[in-house]
Amino acid sequence: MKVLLVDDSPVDRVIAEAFLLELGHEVILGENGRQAIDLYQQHKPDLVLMDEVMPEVRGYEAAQIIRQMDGDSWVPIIFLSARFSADDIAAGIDAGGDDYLAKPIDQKVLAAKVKAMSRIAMMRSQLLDVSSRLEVANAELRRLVDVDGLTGLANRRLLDQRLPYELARCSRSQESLAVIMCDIDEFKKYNDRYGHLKGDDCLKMVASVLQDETRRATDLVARFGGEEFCIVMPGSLEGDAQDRAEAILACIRKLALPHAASATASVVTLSMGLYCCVPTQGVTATYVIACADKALYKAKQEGRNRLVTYTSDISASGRVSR
Amino acid sequence: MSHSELNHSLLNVDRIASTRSMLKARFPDLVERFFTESQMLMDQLLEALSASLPMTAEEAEGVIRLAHSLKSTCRSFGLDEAGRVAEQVEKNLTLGHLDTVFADSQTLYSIYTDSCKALKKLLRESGVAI
Repeated sequence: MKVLLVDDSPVDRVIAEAFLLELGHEVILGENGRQAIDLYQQHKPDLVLMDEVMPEVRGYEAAQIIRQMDGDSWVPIIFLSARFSADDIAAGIDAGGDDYLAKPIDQKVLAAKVKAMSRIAMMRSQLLDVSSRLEVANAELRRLVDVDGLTGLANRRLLDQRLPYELARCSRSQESLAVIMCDIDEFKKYNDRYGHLKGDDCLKMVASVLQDETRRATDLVARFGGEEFCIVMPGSLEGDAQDRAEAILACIRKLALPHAASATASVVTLSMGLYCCVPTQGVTATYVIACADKALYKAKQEGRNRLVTYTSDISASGRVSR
Repeated sequence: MSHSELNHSLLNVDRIASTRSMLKARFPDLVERFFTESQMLMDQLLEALSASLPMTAEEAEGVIRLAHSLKSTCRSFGLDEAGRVAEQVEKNLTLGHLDTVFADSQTLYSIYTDSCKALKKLLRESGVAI
């Protein structure tokens, strides 16, 4: 262990140092409380052995400062003192010390206390290590719970959480909210023609375009299921959402992913349905998705590879209900 | 009282022997440090006690620290009896029993001086150059 030994008495210092060296520890020497603080910062020892009664800054004071500096981390501090009353021990522990060793130092007692502190420090370090690894694993789990494994987009679970939240928020602030449902045209034929692995690649490339073209931090792009995607754009007016959707369609065409089995085009294309509103109380996530889905259905009917914006005449067909 | 008996009443011979065996070649240097430091503390303590009675709180704290350091240094080197009397001085200073402190300090000086003589003799007899 790296031990910081602080004592204003040169004789006590030399004797304690000799004990520690014989026990196989590395020793850093200090002569007063102020040096204890400086050397602690400089060397980051594994253990501090510090006299209590010292000039300038006393041991208790130095321990308090070290504890304040350290925040959550912990290094054992053992006070050395020729005073050994119950009050002294209590004051030392209150100041941030962990143990008390009476002077003159007995080497066997010193060795035992250093061993005990080293054991506690090691257990603490193992505990911290495990808890830090758990924290990383938990963060990763939290991320994975909300992410679609294939495309890396938000998954349906996150969409189901976020959409009601955004609707409520936009309702309170009286902002508009746009929802776009997208579907890769004739994707079943694509899979049949090129195989499911190529189909997965196609999904990933389309997802990447959707993500790249949906730039605002508040927008959410989610895989809705299969070859369907959903984009939620809080605060977007209908015209802005239409522009964004058209830009996505253009990018997908520009990707020029061959789709020889498609009756729509020779490349992969998307159909999109947009629904935009200033939500009022009672407008549910199910409702807005159903409206966007209805518009998407119309886009398919009208020949695919296009955007259709929801209007009341679509609603009149009776396929959308609140 | 024989020399050996004197040694045993003033000195903790076992502690001195174990310190010597652990420090090996560094022991003579420690001996020199001990004599220098303890003599300096003894002189400062006597001077402080004879110079300023009654003392301010700050002065008292300084003198208590001197007695405390002398106690600690003496005990660490095996001068147990001198350490015991230094502790008595420290206690009386802490409790404000200044009437007995001066007499205690004279006793301390006498025991400290005898202990140093006994220590020098012991070290010489065991072949430590001092």
